[in-house]
Amino acid sequence: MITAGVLALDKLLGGGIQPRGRVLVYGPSFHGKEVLVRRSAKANLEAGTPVVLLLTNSSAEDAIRHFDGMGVDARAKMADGLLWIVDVYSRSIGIEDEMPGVQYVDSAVDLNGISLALNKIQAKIIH
Amino acid sequence: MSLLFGVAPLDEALEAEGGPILLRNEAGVEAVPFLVQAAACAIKHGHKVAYLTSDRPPARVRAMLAGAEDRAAVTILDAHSALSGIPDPDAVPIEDPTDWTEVQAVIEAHADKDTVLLIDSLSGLAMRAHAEPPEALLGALGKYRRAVVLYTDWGDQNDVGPFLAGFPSVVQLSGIQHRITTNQYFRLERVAGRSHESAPVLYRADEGMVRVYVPKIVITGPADAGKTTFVHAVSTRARSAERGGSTVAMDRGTIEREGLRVEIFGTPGQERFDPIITPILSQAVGLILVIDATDRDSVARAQDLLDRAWRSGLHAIVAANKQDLPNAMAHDDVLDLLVLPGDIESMPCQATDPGSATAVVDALIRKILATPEVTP
Repeated sequence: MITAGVLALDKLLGGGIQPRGRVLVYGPSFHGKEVLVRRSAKANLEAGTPVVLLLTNSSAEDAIRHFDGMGVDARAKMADGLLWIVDVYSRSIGIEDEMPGVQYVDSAVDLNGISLALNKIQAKIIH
Repeated sequence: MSLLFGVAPLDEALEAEGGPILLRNEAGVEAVPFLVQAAACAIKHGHKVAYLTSDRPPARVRAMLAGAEDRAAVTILDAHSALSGIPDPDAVPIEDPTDWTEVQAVIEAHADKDTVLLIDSLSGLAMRAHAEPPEALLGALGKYRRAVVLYTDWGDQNDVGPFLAGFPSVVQLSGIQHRITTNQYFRLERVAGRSHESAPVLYRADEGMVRVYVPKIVITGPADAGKTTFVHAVSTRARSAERGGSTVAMDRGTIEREGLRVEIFGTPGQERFDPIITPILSQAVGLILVIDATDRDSVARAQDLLDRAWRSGLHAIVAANKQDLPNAMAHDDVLDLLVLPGDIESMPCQATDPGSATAVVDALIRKILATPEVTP
């Protein structure tokens, strides 16, 4: 089982998220969807489960800063091959930053580019 | 003679024929590098390029084409900025990319017989449009020197299907998938309106360049399992390096099946050669694990190699060899000793018989190309 990052939610889900499961976090603005996703990422990183973060409305740099605020050394987790970031945001607004270990996709509508980036990361994780 | 893609098998077949080319890729297979090369080839031969982008901002198109000699030769038709809300002053704007009438008008306005049109991508446009593309759009493409249209197939093209069927030439880009996409290949499906029989050509897209390569199948297994015999049985030409009856370097052979040329690599079985096996696996499309059905003790070693193949994501098949020997285990008994990960299958085999060994290779190639078994 994969933890959702919140104990009460794990209990409701019958122990957590099923391996290979897909969960849609759905809700109105400002209700904490991103907080939930980041908490799950944090809990899984601490348990040693690889996490892939796909960013469509913030940059890799923003995400790393958020993790720092939560007491997670994101750069260290990236160096350990645990945290993987696909940044679909930066290129689409003209930011050409190149952070090592981050996969950049040109635009959120470049769905095939997103598939390719995820495939690259999966290949690295299973090897 | 002017090159179209700079990819020999495609250029040879498509050069003479002048109509629009549909480049259809499975989702998760790289296709954009073909467009980048087509742009570079056109510019190199003194032509102009019109690049219609719907899936990435114009700045990214310029970055991809940065290696081309004459960037002034490129006009970007911008169907992306209307989505992102960030206009690009140097691109030709398409104000409403969901409106085929406007898309077609912009395409027609830039058409001339010295310009190559590249569309990246029709699937992106179609996904957001409210109607199917008009038939007249195909006519507009014909007003260019050449048009290459990218379409990513997400398995939902029913409403675009009739439009796609109108392309006189079709190149299909596919992936060899086994949990992840491990290799990619293209096939010419249609040339000048006629269906075209062509063998799959494997390619890699390193740093945006398309490179074709000869796929490898790796034959591995414990020592004395019969790997060298296997390689020689299936190959038209084979070479080995032996010392005292054991293989100490690679056995190498070539085989041609269904027009596909494959190199066969046999690895040495001793554990001390393991470090050289990993890099070979990274260039392989599939793996055959040969085990000696007369030797129960070698199965543990076989299991280790099999697990490694599974982790690398390769298609694999087990050949339970030496079925002709009186003390060989029955195939079912071999299956009891071996844990086959995932969908890996096992076949009985007798490597001294070319027919038996070739059947194993054929089964693997069918798995790799996901083609159904043909019963004669």
